[in-house]
Amino acid sequence: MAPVPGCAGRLRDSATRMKKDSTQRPNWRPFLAHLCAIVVLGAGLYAAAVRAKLDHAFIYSDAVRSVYPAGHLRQVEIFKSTVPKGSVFYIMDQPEFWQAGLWRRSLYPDNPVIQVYDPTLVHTSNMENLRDKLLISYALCAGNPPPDPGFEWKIELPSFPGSVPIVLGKLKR
Amino acid sequence: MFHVSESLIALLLAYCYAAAGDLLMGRRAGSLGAWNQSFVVGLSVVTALLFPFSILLPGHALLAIAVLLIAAGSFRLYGSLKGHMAKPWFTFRTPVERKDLWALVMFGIVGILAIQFVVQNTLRACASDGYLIWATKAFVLYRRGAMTTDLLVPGVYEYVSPYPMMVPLYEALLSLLRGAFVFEGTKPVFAFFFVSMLISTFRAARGLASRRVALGAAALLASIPALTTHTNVEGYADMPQACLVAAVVAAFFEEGSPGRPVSFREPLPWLCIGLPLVKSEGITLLTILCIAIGMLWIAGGLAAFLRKCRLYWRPIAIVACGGILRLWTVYWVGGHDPVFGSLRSAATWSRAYGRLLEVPQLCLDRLIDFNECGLLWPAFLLAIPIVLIAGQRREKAAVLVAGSALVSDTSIFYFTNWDVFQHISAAYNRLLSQLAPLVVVVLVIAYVRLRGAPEQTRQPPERQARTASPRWRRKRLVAYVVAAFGCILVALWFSHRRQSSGHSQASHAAILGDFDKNGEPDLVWQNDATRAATVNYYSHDKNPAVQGWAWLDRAGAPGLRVVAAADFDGNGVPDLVWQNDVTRKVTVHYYGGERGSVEQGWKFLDQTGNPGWTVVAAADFDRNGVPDLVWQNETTRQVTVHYYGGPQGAVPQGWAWLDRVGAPGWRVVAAADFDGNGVPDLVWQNETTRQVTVHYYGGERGAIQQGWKWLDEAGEPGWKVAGANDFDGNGVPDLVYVHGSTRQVVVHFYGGPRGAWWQGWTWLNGNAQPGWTPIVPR
Repeated sequence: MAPVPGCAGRLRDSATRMKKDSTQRPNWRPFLAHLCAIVVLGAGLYAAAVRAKLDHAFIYSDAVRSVYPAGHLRQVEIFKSTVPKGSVFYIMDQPEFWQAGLWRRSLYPDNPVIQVYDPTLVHTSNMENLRDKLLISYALCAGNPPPDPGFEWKIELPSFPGSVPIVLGKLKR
Repeated sequence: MFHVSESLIALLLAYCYAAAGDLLMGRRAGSLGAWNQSFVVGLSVVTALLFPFSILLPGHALLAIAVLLIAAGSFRLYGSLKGHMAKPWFTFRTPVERKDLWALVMFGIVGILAIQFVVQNTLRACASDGYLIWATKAFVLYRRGAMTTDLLVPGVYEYVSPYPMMVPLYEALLSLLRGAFVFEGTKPVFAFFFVSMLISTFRAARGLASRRVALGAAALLASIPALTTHTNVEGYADMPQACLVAAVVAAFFEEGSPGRPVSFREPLPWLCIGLPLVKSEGITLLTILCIAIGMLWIAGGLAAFLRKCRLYWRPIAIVACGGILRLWTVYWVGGHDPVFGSLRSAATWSRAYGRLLEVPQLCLDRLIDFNECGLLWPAFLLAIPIVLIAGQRREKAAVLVAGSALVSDTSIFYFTNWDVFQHISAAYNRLLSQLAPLVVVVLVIAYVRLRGAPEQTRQPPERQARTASPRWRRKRLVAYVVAAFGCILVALWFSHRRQSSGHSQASHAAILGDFDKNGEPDLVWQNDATRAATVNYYSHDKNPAVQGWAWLDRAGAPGLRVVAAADFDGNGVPDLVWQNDVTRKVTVHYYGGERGSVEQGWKFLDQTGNPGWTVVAAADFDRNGVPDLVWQNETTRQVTVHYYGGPQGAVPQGWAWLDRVGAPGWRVVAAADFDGNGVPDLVWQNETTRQVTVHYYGGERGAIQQGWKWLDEAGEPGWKVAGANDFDGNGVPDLVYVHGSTRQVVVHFYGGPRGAWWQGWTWLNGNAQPGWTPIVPR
């Protein structure tokens, strides 16, 4: 269908204007985009620099290189030279996870460590059954002072800075 | 020290993983980007195989996987040697053009940040979850040779048993090839995850924008402290999870629109099944991604959706199998995570209801924490409307995934059995960091859309049309941007409200520990040998600097030690509390005069002494205006407070227990009011790990404990807390640390809810001062 005379030019102008509107970019947009990008990236780098300064002061000079303190490894040596393979109790006077965790991993898999968070639980029927089932004869007792569940004999393991006092002993039947 | 042999083995394994990925996708990766994608595909597929192998070959699954990987690597190497002798095996195209200075700068920044990660990752031993969960799972896998339902005690379920195995598997394979398991020796694997994450993010951004913008995106990602330091250099699995997210995002934006059924060799579905194999929250991310893709398809109409399903039935089947396999693994291991309440319990839901406001508030606080993520998350909030207005369908889907994941990450805190503040402050930033690659790519999209200019992308012409910018509708843009700004302002308001709660009265009301009355606390120093005492005056500034010093006791008193400094006589100048090393008698020496450095007399505070007990702090617990003495037993670590009053604050008024049980291995290092209730709280530091906690007090005479929070969960090795005082004037005490040997001094600023959120730090004394010990006056 042919265009209506007189209207074709107006339509063409309108179409040209629309096309121009849609393709012409406002000048503020690239500027705003760059500004936002610089601010976000700059803030990120600033946060990284602050953190790096902190890391420089702390981590690079004093990072703990090994999970296991030398004093703990000495205690483990004594344990291994004293106790045969088999499960042992780790009895705490109050819940303390980090040292207990070190012991569990240091003694695995030869001596699976059963954690006991309350010394009074040692003589409950559940624990007695577990003791019979797993043939548990030895216990590590940690605390200040270390709890005494009733030992045939016990030795105090050498302490080290920051350690919890700990004794190793053979449990009475 | 740098675990060279372990790093080489980790590199060999990375090659084998990539070879396995290549074989699966039936291709030969020839560029770093393709190699990286094959590496992550290999990681995902091999980890997915671990569970069925563990069922079929109990005790030998790890060995079988190692054999398969080495076979894949050898096959790939043989193919390279045989078929491509004439051609280079591998082409590395530098992402920087010679004349593009900005790209060069960005590339340099990425390189520096990557090196810092590798160095820190090498220097730091595994800590907390990195040791207790991920490396331990690797240790058990190495020892037992396959996945097991128990962990360290045979037959006993542990809540970390169902945790995914991607990181532990890589670590265990490394140890298997090394021939022994050493916890520290597993760390090199994290460097590969980190570099892979940066490459994937660059690749995703490069498909949308120019090279320099893509490098800027990688630099932004590498600069985020929550992702590149902290727990990520201590063996945690959040950064590896972010690595998988980055790989999925890159593949998502590379995916074409095929006209025929998609092969099972496409990388995206294989990468998707890796998402839930790094951390448990990956299953949520996978679900959100699947829903978003489903919505993307269904937006074109039901017919288009069904057509897509027909085309993509193989990838759909792969992802479904991966999801089912993961759920089966969790079911096989069994048990329940004690960290969260049972969803069948009404009490859990009731507790969640009670946290409806608290959780979003606390999460918002974390979201805008500048120290952790810079402006990443506020920028993301601003980017949302831009992408929703001007983005293509796929880009909108990416924004929806990021937003949904952001919200879904908060959901776990409604059901936590921990203290909700404790859990959010420990975990939310880590959850957010997993999404960082996706958020960075969303920012790139927003940048491109806002800029409007055609970008020089790496996409073929038919895909370029997809990134062409549609028309803007300015009215809608204004509304969206205003809404986004509103969100940020609300977040800031919440944050400010919480930070200032309880501290408004304390703030600026009285500056404690200020000898020269310039409005800034000062620092007392004592010589370890002569016991002479000085005061260093500090400027009233954002970063306080030393502005002179004066003698407080030039002669010193061997055998006596300054154990605290606080204002007993009410003249506004701190007085020194001395304790005898042997008899444990306590005296107070009053100060005043010019700049508070002139002694005004002394009195006994405790004339009998308490052998075995040490005064560890002085602060006003009973709120009578006179400081009280906090004593700690050196063996049992029990804590008491001795109240004082009367003329010049030297008359005993009774005592009370602050901690009757004691905490072996922990020492009270300061007493100051963190929660703003007017009663001092006790700051404890572990002597081994150097972690720091605050125990809140209130109630009758300020001696009733009212909960506790971490102040520094990671601990700063080599540094002791010397005391606490408000150096930044926000009403919350800040922790003063002293280095054990150099005696340099820094202050860590605190604020936020109950004064327990770290806000930054600065030096108080950057010069070495060996032989002198700082005391923080109150």
